[in-house]
Parts: sequence; structure tokens; C-alpha cells
Amino acid sequence: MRQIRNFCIIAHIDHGKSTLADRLLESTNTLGRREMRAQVLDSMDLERERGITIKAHAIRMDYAADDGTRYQFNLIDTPGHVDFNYEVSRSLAACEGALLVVDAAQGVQAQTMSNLLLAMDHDLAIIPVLNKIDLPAARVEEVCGELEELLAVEREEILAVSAKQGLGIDEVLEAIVQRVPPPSGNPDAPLKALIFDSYFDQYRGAIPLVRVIDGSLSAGMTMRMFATDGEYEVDEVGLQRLKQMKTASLEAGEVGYIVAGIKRLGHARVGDTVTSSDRPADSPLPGYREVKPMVFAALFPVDNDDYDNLKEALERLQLNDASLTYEPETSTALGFGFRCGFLGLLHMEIIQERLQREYDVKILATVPNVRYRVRMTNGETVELSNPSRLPDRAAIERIEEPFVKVRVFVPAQYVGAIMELCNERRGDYGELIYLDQHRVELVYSLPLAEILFDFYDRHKTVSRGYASFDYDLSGYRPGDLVRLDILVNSDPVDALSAIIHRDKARTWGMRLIEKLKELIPRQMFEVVLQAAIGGRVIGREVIRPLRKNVTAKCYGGDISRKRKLLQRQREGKKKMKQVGQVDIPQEAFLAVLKMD
Amino acid sequence: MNVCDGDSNGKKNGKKFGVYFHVPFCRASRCAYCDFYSIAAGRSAVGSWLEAVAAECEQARQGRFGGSWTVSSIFFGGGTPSLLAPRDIAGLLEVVGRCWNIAGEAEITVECNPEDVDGRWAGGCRKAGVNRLSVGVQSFDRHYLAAIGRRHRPGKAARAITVARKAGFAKVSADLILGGPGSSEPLVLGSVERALELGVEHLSAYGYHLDPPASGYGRAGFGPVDDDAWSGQYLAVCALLRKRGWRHYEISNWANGDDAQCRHNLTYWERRPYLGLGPSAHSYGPGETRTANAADLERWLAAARSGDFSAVRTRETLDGDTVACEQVMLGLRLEDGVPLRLLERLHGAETAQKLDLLAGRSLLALRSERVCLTDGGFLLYDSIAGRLLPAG
Repeated sequence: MRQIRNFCIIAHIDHGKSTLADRLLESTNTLGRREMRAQVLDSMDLERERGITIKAHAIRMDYAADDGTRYQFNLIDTPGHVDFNYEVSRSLAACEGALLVVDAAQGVQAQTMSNLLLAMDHDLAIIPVLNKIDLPAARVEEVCGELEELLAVEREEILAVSAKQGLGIDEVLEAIVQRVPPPSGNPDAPLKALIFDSYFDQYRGAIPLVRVIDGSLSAGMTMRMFATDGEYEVDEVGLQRLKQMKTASLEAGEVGYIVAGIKRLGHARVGDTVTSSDRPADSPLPGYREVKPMVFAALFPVDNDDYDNLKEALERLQLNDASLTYEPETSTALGFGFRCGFLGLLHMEIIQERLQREYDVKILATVPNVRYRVRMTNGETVELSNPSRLPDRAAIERIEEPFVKVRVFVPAQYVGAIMELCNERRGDYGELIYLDQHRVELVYSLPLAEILFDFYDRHKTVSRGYASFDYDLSGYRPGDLVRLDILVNSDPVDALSAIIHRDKARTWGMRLIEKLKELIPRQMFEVVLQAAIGGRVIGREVIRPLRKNVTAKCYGGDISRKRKLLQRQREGKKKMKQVGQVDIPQEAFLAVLKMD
Repeated sequence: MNVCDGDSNGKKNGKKFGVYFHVPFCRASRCAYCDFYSIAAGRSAVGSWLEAVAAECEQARQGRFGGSWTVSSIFFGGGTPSLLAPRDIAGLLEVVGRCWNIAGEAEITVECNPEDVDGRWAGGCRKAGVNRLSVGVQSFDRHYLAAIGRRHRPGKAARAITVARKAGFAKVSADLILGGPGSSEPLVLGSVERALELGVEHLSAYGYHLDPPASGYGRAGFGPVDDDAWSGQYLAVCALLRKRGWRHYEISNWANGDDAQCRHNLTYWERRPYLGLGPSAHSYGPGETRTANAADLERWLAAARSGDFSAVRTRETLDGDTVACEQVMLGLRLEDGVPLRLLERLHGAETAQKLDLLAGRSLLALRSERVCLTDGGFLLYDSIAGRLLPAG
């Protein structure tokens, strides 16, 4: 156990985490050159393309250190984004140390900070790594200064590397040996293993990745899960290289996988503790919680005939991603679809993109919303993730919405702009911390709903791309929230309903119907668009009827051309969604997503 | 020429069809709004065309239109068919007459440019057997004619009509264009009134419309008036001619009495067979087959020389759905509309809801179990046809 080092790499997006991981694998000869693809740990196309790690993985390396001893390194990769914060925290719980990678040009960013705080919560040994020192824009001295301050470390403890060029990699490997403590479990105690990730294998079912804390785990034994109370015969254990390698057992301190015929991913939950049925541990490892979706949106197939394909695609995505939830939803405007729950915005985007890319299902998504807590006058509480289902006003005592603590890292000259943005978004100012004389950390409390919508783009715009932000859920608070409905010729368009703060409802409604007026083509009859708050109409736009749509010439006998023109026109109409008798193009629904 | 009475030659039940000659020549450049196929004429090109079109006609006699067919109408369209000399027209009518029986009451029309119509030409055509002239008047307003790029003066058009009458044409039609650049309701109504004064018994009023093949497409000063003005002009023409007792028998066509309707064009709309000859001409023949010649004079001439037109011809056999689609789309253009039964067959239980919505907005009416568009409905023909076409 003294020769085991379990560690992870934490970094802000694009600071070079995956490239560094590649170098470590290369230097320890874990992979031959031929197997080496850039960023091998990120195995989904989408991950590689976006340069972000969506799902955590783990990989075993053997390292012959300068002291002549061979060490077992387990690199546990962590998803870099706040949406996967819980998964990150479980990955960190499986480690004793972390490489904190910071881009020498960009310096400390929001995710650096939130990941670092998480790592500190888990008492990990932190090894600061300054990456990309080869860049012309590298500000080595300044960023080292930031790190010294942040971590209270000496200048010499900061490793300067260029993962891209392969500079300083040996120093990193040695630092892992020297600074990351070995695991400290008890090999003789009853088994306790932490599931820090799991994935689904078509043939072998759900495969948990575990870190054994106490005891040992081997094929043939019966294991039990604390949270789900499931019992399984262990078929195989092993360690992860690029592929799985079967081993006789996993001992205390080690990291590996378990095959045990677990049918569903939901039965091998991240954070759960595995113990032995014969000699169970008294209590699970701390920190388990059920992951709940935070962001909701309804997804509809663009082509109604694709409903079954969408359903199948969601089922298959869920096999690999237990945090995705979905339930059938019927919209009068958009037909049959699913209301899906996501961990956050990025998670939502990824799922939407995977549906289109991997499953070739074209989808139309509604405006994302949060889960509201509705306190009823009769004392009941209703959790609501579909705005059009908000109960009658009279029955509602108050509506509560989720708040988040937002941490923005920004150069000092843009603080004003960011504060203005946060105030606009109903934010409560928390604190302002000067990291150095140029950079500031700004803390705000914001309704989650307010950052769902283009907050990311806006904060980048107002800071010319320099700001970065991260957030944590901080609980529910009551708000003056109302339901805004859009009516087309008096028919409410359920897919456009939104729960929104009273102060913003009017402007939002007016702008929405203006936008719709632009996007809905003139029809054979007048179309009246209305915005209504809690049933009271607050705005109205009229689309005048079409006066003329006739191709008068139809002689000379060319009937087929005319027929094809009409059929093409009808095909175009089929792609529109019908609300009552009004044809609404898909773009009208998408436009809502683009409103700022 | 073998013009015979349909009943007297013992082929009483012979199938009827129309013959269309596409004369792909114009005097110089094309009119800015025109998207029909034509090229500038030269005498030798016309000579080649005459030979080739005769060959194509004879080939059809051996092929698709072999057997006992009777020609019920012949139409010379273009292009500018009045560039043909009367003897050329006579020659082609003889070719047709050699191939089939031409019904005694057959309608034989030549489209003409007002500038080409003089006493000699008109008399020659009449003698050759032509019995109907369709005069491309477009307008009797000088400025408007200039705006839409026509070279003739309004007086020419009036004279052409008078000359045609003198030459003995009982059927004269005037083509008008409404909605063109600079047009107005009084201006368009003025032209209609003038045509009525001149005694035509048939009027076509086509909406000015530019499609990409037309040379005026996208050019400043060539655009139509706005939709409101356009609609106003159209509805005013409908109202005026209704007041005069004319039949508005197709979206853009009016006739003073049933006999005055253009039988040849009705062949297209009523889905009766027709044979199109010449480049870019279309045919609809037995076995629900539509064919189209390529819009390319040179290639078509080469095909004629080789005796094999298949290289320049595309062919489509219509399935049941396409036939239904055509029935709806063509029927809705006509005063008599489409049978309600047909729509019920296509739309089942949804028919009533679809029709009620349109009827409620006075866009269509139900007359003796047929669904007919109103004038307002004609203005939205494309939208309505789109709704009533069979799904799928």
C-alpha cells in the first residue's frame, strides 16, 4: 500500500488537463506510441471535440521512481464542469492528492477555484502545476504569485511544465511520489469501497469503478451496496489500463472495476459504498447523496414520426448517464415528447447534441427552466418542473425557486459590468475579493433561473471574454413569480409558457410576441398574438392576413412543375407546428431560446 | 387539309385530344416578365423547326397517339407564334390532318403579338383554318406597356383586334397583365373596358409575376405592385366582368358565354389528353403519362434528326395519389371547382373542418356538391390548394 498513489488532475476548462494526462501515460509507458491518441481519457467524440471531460475514468500506471522503487499510480480523471460537481467530489474522495493545473497565460479561473475548494474539502495534497509555459503570452511570474497566495505555497513548490512540449513531466511524476501520501486504509477491516464512477457495458451490465478503502474485493464473493441495498455475486474484478485487466483481487488503497451482473446503472450509484455480504461494514463511507436534476426542458422530435427514435435514444443515453431523467410530455403545440431533467446547462447541451449526433434525432427543445417549489394554501408543497402545469393562482400561497452562489473571476476593470449583469439578474451581492491588484473574485447569490438563460454568453461579452464563473446550489427562496402565457388566436401555446419574476414578465412577454410576429408567416386569416400574466392579457400583436398567394399562370401544359411547387410548399408546412389553425415555424420556438 | 365532322366519318367514339405547338422564337429579346422558352428567331432556324415539329407529330401518330384519336383543339403558343407565316401554319395543320381526324368544330388558336397582325397575315391564317386569335395586348396604356417592357403601342393592339374581326375571326381573345410595375386599379379597369369595347369575347388577365428565369427578376423597376394593390386590381376586374355577365371560368380567364371559353386550355385543367410538340412542350397521354421535352432547341432538333426524341424527353407515370393531387390542384383553378366527394375521399373526417374554416372566411363555397373557390379564394389559391392536397 505504501507504493500506491491515487491522484487526480483538476483544472479550469482548456488549461491542459487532458494533455498532461496523456504525457503521464506516455512517460510511464502505460501506452505505446501507437495506442496514443491525443486525450485518450476522453473517449467520447464530443468530449474530445469540446476538450472537456464529461465522464470520469480511471487508469493504472506503473512508475519506476528515482529512488528505485516501483509505484502504482492511479490517475482518476474528473469531469471538469460544475454540472458534474457531485461526481467530481466522489472522484476526489477516491484520491489522496491532486495536480492543480493552471494555464500560465490565463491564470486562476473560476473552475480552478471551485475544484480547488472541493479538493481542499477532501484534504487532498495539492501539487500546483503551471502549464503552457511555452506560450508567448505566458505570465509565469504573475500566475505563480497568484498560486502562492491561493495555496500558501513557496515558489519552489510550483512545477512549471509544458504538457504539449513534454517539458517538466518527470518532475511531475516525482512530485506525485513525494508529495501525495499513500492510502491509509485497513486491509483487514470489513470491505468498504467507494463507487466513484460507473458505466454501462452492453454485455456485462453496469460496471462500477471503485476505490477500495478498507478490506479487499475479489471474484466469487457476494457484495452489497449500502444505498440501494442490492446484493450481487462478484464475477470479476480488475484494473483499468486503456482496456480492462482482470486481477485476482482489489486490495485496500487500490482502484479498479467490478463486474457483477448489475442490470442498471441506477443500481451502481456514484457515491455509494460497496461492502461484503458475509462480513459487512457497520456504516457506509460519508458523502453519498442522490443526484437530482436541476435544469429541465422538454424535448420534442422535429418530425413527429421520430418519437419512438427519441424515446429509444433517451433510454440508451440513460443507460450510461443515470443523472439524466425523462418522462413523457404532451404539448398541444409540439405534440409528443419528453420533459428531461439535467444536472445543469452543459449537461443539457451535451445530451441534446448527442441525441442529434449519435442518434440522428432532430429535436426541438423548450426554454430550460428550474424546478420550482410551490407552497399551496392547503399546506401541501408541489415540486414543479413544467411551467404550464402551475396550479391555479388562488390555490398558491407562494412559489420558491432555487438559488445559487455564483463566483465570478474577472479582471478588475470589468467588475462594474459584471455587477451590473448580476444585479439585472436579481442577484444579491455577496463579497468582492481582490486576488491581486488586477484580478477580482466576485461572489453573488442569484436565482438559478437567471443564469439558465444566456448568462454565460453575457458575462463573457461584458468582460470581453476574460471573466469565468462557477456556481453551487444554495437552497430555495420565495420569489414574486408569475406564469407568463403566450396565446395564438386565444389558444395558449404551452411550449412557450414560462414562470418568471413579476418585474420581468411584461417586458419578456412583449418582446416574445414581437419576435413571434416577425417569425410567423402571414396566414390566410388574421393571427392575434397575446401575452398574458396569470390569465390577464398584457400585450397584443396582430399578424395581418395574407392578401395574395397565387401563381396565376398555369398554361402551356406544364402541370408537373406546378404540382411539385405546391407539394414542396405543403412539405414546408408539414414542418411547422400547428396551434389551432395557425402554422408556427420551428424557428419561432427556437427564437425564444435566443432572446436576451 | 382533312377537316372533318367528328360524327360523319364513323369514328363517333374516337378519343379526343388537343395538340400544342411550341413556337420557340421571339423577334428579339424576351419580355422581362416572360419565363417561357424562346430564342431570337432566324429564318433558317424556323425552317428546321417546322420540319422537326412535323416529324415529332408523325412520330406521335405512330406511338402514343396511334389509333382512333380525334383532335379537338390545336394551339400555337410560344414564344411568338405570329412570327410564323400563314403558309407555315397551314402546312402544320395539314400535317396534323394527315395524322388524325380534326373535329369539325375544333378550336384552332394562334397566339399573336399585336405588331404582327395585319390584314394579310390574319386573312392567311383564317384561310389556313385558324379560327381563334389570342392577342397579347397586355394593356392599352402606353406608359404601362413601356414599364413592362413591351415595344408595341396601344393603338397596335386595338388595330390587331379590329383586323382579326375583319378577317373573319369569330373568336378573339385579349391577354392583359395586371399588377405590373406602375399599375393601378383604374388603369387595369380601363384596359378591360377598352377590350370589351373592341368586342373580344374572351379575356385572360394574368398576374404580373417574376420567377427567376424571367430577365426582369430581381431588377429595380420591374417588380410587381404590393399585394394589397395587386389584390385590389384582381378583385376589381372580377367584379367588372361579373357585372357584364361574363363567366369567370378559371382563375385568370373570363369568357362572354360558354362557347367563348378556351377549349384548348380547358384540356389542361380538366386533365384531358394533349400532345405538345416542340422544345419545352409537355404532353399528357394515355396511361396517365406526362412527358416533357427539354427546353433546348438545338438538342431537340438533333433528336428530331436522329428520329429518337427519348433523349430530350422526360417521362413520368402518375400514380393514384399524384392523379388525385392533380385533380384537386387543377380543379380548384376552375369556376366549377372539385367534387366534394373527392375531397372527402382524400381527407375523410377532417374534410368538414378544413372546408368550414375556409368557407367561414368566404374563401370557398359549396355549389351542387362541388367545392369552388370565391374570388377571394382564387387570390389565395396556392395556400388553399396546399391545404386541400392529399397528405403524404
